[in-house]
Amino acid sequence: MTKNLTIDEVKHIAKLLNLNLQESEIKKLAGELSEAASYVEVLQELDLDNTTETAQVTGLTNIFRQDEVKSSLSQSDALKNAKKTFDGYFVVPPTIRKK
Amino acid sequence: MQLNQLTLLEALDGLKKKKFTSVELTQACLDQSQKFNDKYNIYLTFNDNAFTQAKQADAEIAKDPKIFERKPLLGIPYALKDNFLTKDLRTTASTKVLDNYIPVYESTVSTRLKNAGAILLGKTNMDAWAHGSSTETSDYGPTINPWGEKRLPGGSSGGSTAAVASDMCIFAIGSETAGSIRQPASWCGVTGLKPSYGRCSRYGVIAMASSTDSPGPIGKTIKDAKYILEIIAGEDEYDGTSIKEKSWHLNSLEIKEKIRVGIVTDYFLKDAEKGVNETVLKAIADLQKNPNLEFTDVSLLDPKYAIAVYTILQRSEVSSNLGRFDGIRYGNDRSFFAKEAKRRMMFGAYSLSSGYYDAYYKKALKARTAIVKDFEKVFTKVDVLISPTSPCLALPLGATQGQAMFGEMQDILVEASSIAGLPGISVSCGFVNQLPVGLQFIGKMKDEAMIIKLAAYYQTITDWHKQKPEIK
Repeated sequence: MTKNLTIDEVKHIAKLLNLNLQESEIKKLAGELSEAASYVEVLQELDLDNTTETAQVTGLTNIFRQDEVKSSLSQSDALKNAKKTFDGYFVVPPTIRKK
Repeated sequence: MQLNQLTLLEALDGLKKKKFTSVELTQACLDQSQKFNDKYNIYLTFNDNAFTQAKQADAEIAKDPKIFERKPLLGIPYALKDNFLTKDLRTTASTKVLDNYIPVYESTVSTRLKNAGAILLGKTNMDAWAHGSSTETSDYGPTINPWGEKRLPGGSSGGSTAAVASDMCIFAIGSETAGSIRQPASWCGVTGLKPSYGRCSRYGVIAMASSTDSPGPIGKTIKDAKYILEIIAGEDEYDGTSIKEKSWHLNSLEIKEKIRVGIVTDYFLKDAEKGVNETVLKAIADLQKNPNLEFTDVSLLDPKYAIAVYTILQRSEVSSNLGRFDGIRYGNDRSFFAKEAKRRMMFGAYSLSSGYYDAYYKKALKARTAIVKDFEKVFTKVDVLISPTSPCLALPLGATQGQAMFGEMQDILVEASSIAGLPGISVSCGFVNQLPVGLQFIGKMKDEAMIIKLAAYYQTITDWHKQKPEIK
């Protein structure tokens, strides 16, 4: 399963992550990610066909609590670290642009 | 001896007996920090209120002699890794993305310490986002290991372990995802306790890999670490993965019963740095003199599988956790991510992406089961495992340059137990070329009691943990 990532694949992943990468970075990352992919190749040696997956290790299941209203952050606290606010709201960049 | 050099238990005793005040104790730690922080780059941010809080602690002590029953850390100054949120005090996780971030709430661990009366001195340097094993990937420059001017402290809790080693605090708090407490504790010659996953709440800790992140204490002795753990551990309504049981509470540290100790032969790597394996074997020989300790050689899955599992799972969780950092509600935008964070997010998103999910992420989850089962099997034969903590000594500054997989190799002996959520301890067990070597104890899930007992015994028969670096 040795896998070398292509430049296009790296660009695609960067887009998924909303990262703006320089061309030089993309080239470097293609090599580094391929190197990491080759490291994890060893897992192919293990026979895991009949093994179930482990996502967590505490053995805890269904942790519920009463749906009680408790104090939470005030509006001013929640907005405190935002660069731009308006009328008690966060200002976000536009996601739909006019043509 | 200077006050800042005291262990936690010694400092508490002194405060209780009014041999000195919290103001004097806090001042001694701050003096040491002011003298050497520029050079060693341990604290990123100081708590300007530390001195006032020490004064208040002294007033409380003067008023009520029984105050320590309610506030078991009253007046004790400590250092906190900078990925724990502190209300109104800058918290960066050593990344420029959070350069100007002032949290509006407090982590559970630091809340519990505050309620116990501990005094926060400041926030310590770390690998940015805790992505690393060197503290060299901090966006604020590397921390210097107190044992060697040109050496790395390990990481990611390298600032916290260096703060303890250099006596810039009485104790410190770190967090471990796979090695980040034990490995820098090993390289800095201090005692690091990585609790079972879920033992200490992750609430208010900037997430790295959520399924293995484990806050824990770093102390000058294991008795100190145990004392701190008793305060910070326990169920938390804000962390659904926190565990209830207090099974690790110990009435006595004495070894009265037979304990079966497994020497993990696979963890004595052939290409370990010269002297490391030999030093650890010498420590084991010291322990073997106790007739209640029965030693056997045991074998675990080749640690290379743990590296592969960890590489996939950690990076996948990172890509998801760092997705929320958009610079809108707090912090800077995504152009502020440095090289290592980008590399990890990229590999994570790749292993989670359509077409590769089964081959990478799902496969790693299955291999995680194999690792958990491997430990369960070995723990039917023995009660505790023993091995080196890291196959190498503190590496020189610059060692991480151009190494995409740096860290995984240095953490090779701690990753499997982290993946399985097991508790572990690193204690100093000797020196090679004037650099400390770490001895590791790994326990069953939720069995901190056993490893604390063994580490405490080791520290009664040796005094490696009392050795101090020459800070200048």
